[in-house]
Amino acid sequence: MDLDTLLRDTASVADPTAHDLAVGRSALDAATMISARRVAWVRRAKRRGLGLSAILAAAASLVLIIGPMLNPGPRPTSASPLAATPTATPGSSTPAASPTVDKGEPTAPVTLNVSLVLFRAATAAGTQPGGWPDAAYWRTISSYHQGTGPTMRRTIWMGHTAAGALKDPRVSSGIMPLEVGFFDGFTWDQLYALPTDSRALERKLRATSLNGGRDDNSELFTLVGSLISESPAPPALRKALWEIAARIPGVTLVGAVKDSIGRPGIEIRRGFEGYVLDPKDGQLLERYEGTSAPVPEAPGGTNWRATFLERGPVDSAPAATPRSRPTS
Amino acid sequence: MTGSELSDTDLLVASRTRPEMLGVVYERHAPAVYRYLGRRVGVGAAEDLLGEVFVAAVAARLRVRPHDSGSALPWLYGIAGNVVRSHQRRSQRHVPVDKVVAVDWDAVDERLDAGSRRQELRVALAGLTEAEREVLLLVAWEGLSPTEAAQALGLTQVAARSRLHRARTRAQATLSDMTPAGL
Repeated sequence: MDLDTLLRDTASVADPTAHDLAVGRSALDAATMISARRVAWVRRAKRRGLGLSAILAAAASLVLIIGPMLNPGPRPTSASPLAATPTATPGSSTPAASPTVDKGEPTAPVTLNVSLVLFRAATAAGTQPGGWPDAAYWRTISSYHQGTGPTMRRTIWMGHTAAGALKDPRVSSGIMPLEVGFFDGFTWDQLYALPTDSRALERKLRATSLNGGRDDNSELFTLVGSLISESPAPPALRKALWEIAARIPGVTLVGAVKDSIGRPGIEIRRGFEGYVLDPKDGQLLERYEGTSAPVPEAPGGTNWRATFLERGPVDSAPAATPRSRPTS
Repeated sequence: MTGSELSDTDLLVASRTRPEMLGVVYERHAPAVYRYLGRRVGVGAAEDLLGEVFVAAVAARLRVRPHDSGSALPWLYGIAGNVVRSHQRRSQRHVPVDKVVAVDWDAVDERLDAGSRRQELRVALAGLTEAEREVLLLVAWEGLSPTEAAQALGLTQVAARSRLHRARTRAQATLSDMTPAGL
């Protein structure tokens, strides 16, 4: 074999699609916008005669927001996609702490930044291996509060082909049986058959799932969270869902926050609804819903907030206990 | 001024104080950078890494020294090489031949219609040093001139030409020695 022929034959590769180029461009635009702000700030500082150290400190703060997204850490290696160990007390009735904005990083309520944040989260999610197409059950453990009520711990087992189970003190004092897993209109297998190209997935979701009373974009934003919260959505699907979220008009970046149990994350919101996600792996750490009049007594001032503590595949679900009354 | 009428060199100079000028560089060269990525990590990962290369370029623009050829591509390929290596360090996948030249052979395999050619390429490149392999692939796959490849790799022109010559000679010799049974 001639070397030149071999190299020529192996050089062939597909050209980027318009979507590929648009995703990359949105990341660049976000970075150049931040950099342009930095240039403008330095210019103004020079005109005002600020010292070099003050200029460097302020300029550096402008890029802090972008750093964590550009350097995602190592991926979790445990079977559970949520590597962080929960520190919340099971069944605790103590209201969860409100999420706090990291004081060391500036908030950046700029639409362009949302694209970069979600682009990075999507990329991180997409680089994780596999999925769980053959698992028997998907178990999600979360804590949540509703209104001014106490924080509750909820465990749900979603069955692939068998009945699932729910342990939630607000619903039942025991373990309640559930139907076979159904995730916002999709069975487990249908979830794995959904397109993982985000444009195709968005078309599919808009065509099949959006029939609520609110406007489509609000429904779509809710659906992104619902399909990730308590489902075995594979990494490629999570990637596509965050890419969809990045395109929904009205989604804004709240900034770098710690969730109710202190895990660092990035908060995005649309209207009264929001998510805290881990930019390192695209996992959903928390989701919440507010109201037009925030509930001041409730943790975080939200009407409902769920914090996801553990999620992953399991082999079995507990048997249901006799029907009993909820505790609240 | 939108910048579309400017040369790459002028855009890179202007981008130091006007980073948005990199948008014009993106429009010109993003497809080539994507293909560079696709050849080394597969098109799936290339989609993810394309934005990362240009975001890194925003920071790196302050240090860029435009090349005599007037093209921004050697500079972008240099950044892309770093991004690929970083990606592979993050990745848990095994990279069969070497990490330094930053070629994911599984990804290469996916886009070749004949497994034997992939195997030939692996064997031919395996006998080269990392610098020889990189300069050979930048010239053969990306179409850079040896002097442009020198800039991408941070080498002198003489060193790049010398390594390219050695790489070609040794890779061709390896190919010639291969027997069909060994493929």
